[in-house]
Amino acid sequence: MHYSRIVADYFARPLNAGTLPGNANSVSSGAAGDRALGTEVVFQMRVRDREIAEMSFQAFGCPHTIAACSLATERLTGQPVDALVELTAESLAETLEAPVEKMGRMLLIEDALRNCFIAWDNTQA
Amino acid sequence: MKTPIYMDYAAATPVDERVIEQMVDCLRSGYGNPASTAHQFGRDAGEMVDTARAQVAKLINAAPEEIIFTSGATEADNLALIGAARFRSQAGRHIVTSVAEHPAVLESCRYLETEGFSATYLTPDANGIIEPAAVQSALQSGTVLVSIMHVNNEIGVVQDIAAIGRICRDADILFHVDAAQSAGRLSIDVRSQSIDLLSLSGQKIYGPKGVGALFMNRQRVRRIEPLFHGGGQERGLRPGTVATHQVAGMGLACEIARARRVDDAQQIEELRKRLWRGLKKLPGVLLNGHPKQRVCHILSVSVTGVEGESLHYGLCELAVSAGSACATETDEPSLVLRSLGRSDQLARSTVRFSLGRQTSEAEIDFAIAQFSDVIARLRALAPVSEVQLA
Repeated sequence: MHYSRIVADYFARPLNAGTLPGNANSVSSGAAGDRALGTEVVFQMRVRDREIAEMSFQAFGCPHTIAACSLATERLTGQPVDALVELTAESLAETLEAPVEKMGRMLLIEDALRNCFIAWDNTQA
Repeated sequence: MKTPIYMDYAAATPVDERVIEQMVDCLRSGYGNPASTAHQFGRDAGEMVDTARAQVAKLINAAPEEIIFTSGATEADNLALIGAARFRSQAGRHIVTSVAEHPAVLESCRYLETEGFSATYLTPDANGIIEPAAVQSALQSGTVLVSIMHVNNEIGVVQDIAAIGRICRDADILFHVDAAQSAGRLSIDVRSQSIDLLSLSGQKIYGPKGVGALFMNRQRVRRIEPLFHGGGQERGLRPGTVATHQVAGMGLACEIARARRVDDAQQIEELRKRLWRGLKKLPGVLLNGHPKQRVCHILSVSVTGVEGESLHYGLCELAVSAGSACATETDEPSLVLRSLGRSDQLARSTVRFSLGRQTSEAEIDFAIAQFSDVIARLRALAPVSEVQLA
């Protein structure tokens, strides 16, 4: 299995790991995956004025999954909330130099980010 | 301490310095073809092969003429199973083995199935043991061969080969044992254990890679069908010029293994127990295989609440094995671990530590600390932090 330098770095020192304090009104969550199948990820974020003020992740998964979650939170913090649905699995895979067999896990992260957006959007109604 | 720490002795051992010297010496001075008995160069090489054959034989209480040199245990397994089954095919076409065998045995059985043989694949119990009674029950009127490994390479459990050997002998069925992991660690006596065919590997006993041996009981196995053709070497059963330096290295490795076996086993078993004492204190770390009926050098553990690939990647300071192929989701987890009742997820989160002569207490303590750190870190990253204890 190929692990790029960037994967190694994120795996050794993941950024934004953990949970955000708050309730469902202040913190939106999005999950995807199934631990029994090898990958489970959860994102949380706090949005202020349609901008992602804080973001965190939890992951049960391979080094690429952990790295991709960390990378996603880093990229998205400070961005408009719409960026959640614009971040693609392909761009995560490209940055991490992830091999093609890891694409399924990158897509799962994309799903979790979208679910996070939907959870936030539901609070806006 | 120099890292990474080598804890993969079940895959390959470092070559003993004396073995290296012997092999280099053999390459320099033993270059004659051991089959060229007409001149001194050939006779010198032939003597080296004879010495090695006697050294290998002595390790398992066999006679030198019962040893056939091969390229490794894989070839020995292939030669034993395919060679013996084909030769005995007039008597019957059924083989008994277990799902926990090395791929060299399993794939040879699968191959024989394409030639019209049938095979019964026994499943070990929850401790990884093949009950001799299960072998007895699997025998049919057309059974010609039973193949059960002495020590399982993934989890280290020891099978009662003497009891299985008796059953086979009573039924007049050939009994093959893959002893790649047990040689030099456990006492092997092909006579008292009623073994007819036995495979050995050089690289598992501080000898070189690329060499192994097949023991063929001269009273019980008159002939097998060779896999290769084109020369009379090794009684025509393994034609091709004997790799003098390789077999000389393996021979000396066997002699050293015989001399050191009891002390080695005691020292390495203490280290394995120290490792397990440290690991079992950690939550959700499960021992694979029988707690007592096990070889000195292998410890296999499965870890709950931790993803397998990240576990192995995190343990980069330790040269250990997965014990199951787990690089991608499409890979099937180990049959051995699944037969113990481990889930696919747990089978993937399995680490095989295998220790040897050079392993130190300090290395064991470092491994425990590393393991503890990695699983704590990965569990802290995971969405649900509670550890499910199986």
